[in-house]
Amino acid sequence: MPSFYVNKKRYWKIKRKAGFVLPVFIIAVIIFLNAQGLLEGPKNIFFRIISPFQKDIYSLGVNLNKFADFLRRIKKTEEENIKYQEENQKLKGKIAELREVVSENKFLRQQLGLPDNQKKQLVLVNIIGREPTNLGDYFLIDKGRKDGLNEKSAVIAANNLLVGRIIEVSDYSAKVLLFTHPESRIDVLVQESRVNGLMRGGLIIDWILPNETIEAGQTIITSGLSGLFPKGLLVGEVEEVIFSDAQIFKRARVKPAADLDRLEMVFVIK
Amino acid sequence: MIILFFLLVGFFQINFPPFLRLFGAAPNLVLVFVLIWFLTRKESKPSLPFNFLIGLSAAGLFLDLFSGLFFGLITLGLLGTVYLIDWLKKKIFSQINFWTFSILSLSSVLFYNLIILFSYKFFQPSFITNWKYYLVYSIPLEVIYNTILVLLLLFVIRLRGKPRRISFLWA
Repeated sequence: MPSFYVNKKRYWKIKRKAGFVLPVFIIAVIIFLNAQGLLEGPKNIFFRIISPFQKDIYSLGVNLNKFADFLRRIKKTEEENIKYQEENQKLKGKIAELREVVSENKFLRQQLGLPDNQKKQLVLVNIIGREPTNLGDYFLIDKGRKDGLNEKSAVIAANNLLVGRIIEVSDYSAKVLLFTHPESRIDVLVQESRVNGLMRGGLIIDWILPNETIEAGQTIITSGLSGLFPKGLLVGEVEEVIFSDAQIFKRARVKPAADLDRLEMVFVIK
Repeated sequence: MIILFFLLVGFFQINFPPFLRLFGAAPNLVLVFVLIWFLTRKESKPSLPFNFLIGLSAAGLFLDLFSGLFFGLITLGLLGTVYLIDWLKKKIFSQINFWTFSILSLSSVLFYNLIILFSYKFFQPSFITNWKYYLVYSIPLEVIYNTILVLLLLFVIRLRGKPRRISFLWA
């Protein structure tokens, strides 16, 4: 066999092997540099450039989702409309009742010399991306350390609805772990019966004693016990109570109050 | 061109698939396009061109930037899966038909998810404790969803009139 043919064959073989190994090697170097914190600068630049228009594109995705959802539910619209109108009437009554309770509470606090409840300092942030894999419920927000955000800060939606907490923060962006993540753990409280519990990701409250009262439709709020989330954030409502004679403890499935797929902007509690 | 294409797919992956979730499973567009690319290219061409791997890595890094996982894991998962498909196609499924391709799709999506899951466990062990959820529910659902998506897209490509390249699929 002519030697130039053998060399050419060998050349292509080496080139093919290099083509295989080189990308893996580059990624390994990038992982190493990131672990050393050397990619913080380039990442910050990337997010500063991309954030202004990424939030609009993300918003477009949310709106497309809303439109698709509207098309899916168009048949049920009338039925739902009647249901919501009834619910609205009930809620108006409840709001009037609660206003009375608030003013009474204010008066009693003044009489007893108790300090006012501390107002939360909130930072409004835009969501600029969602977790691309199935392994977690995360999203990315367009503000970071430079805006005073810290790791573990609680993230809420309008009306005090719990969304999650910050798990990673850089100068101009931060990653938020949603409370629906299978690995999340939240100390919760059933508002009506004051039963405490631990809600696991997958939206299940475990270890509820059989003699404790928990029913479908009851409101779940954060208890503030672990210190991760302030007390009183609305988590959702009890969808189903799981209990049989063979079980020692009751379990409850929770329906989240916030529609996490439709969020475009959220608040971070500083 | 292929690098730009992959970046575009990565960009779509960030912004739209989370809203295409079905029972919690979202499509993995990058992986879906990798599989379609493998299947619609000419058999005679040498496998895995360098710019394809660079494009795939660029898309992977783009996804990694938006992910809550350890930076670089998605890229490694994608590269590992591509090497696996290439190997399987060369060594096991040299004559591809509809069924072998379905197996190829299933195994590659499964492999990708397992790489991500186990590397995640290795790098951020405290975050993976609910194994049952991932192995029994989340991963099988994603495997089925993405495989169906790949087969549907291939069917559409076939309808759009490029049967010569992929006719072996439907033999």
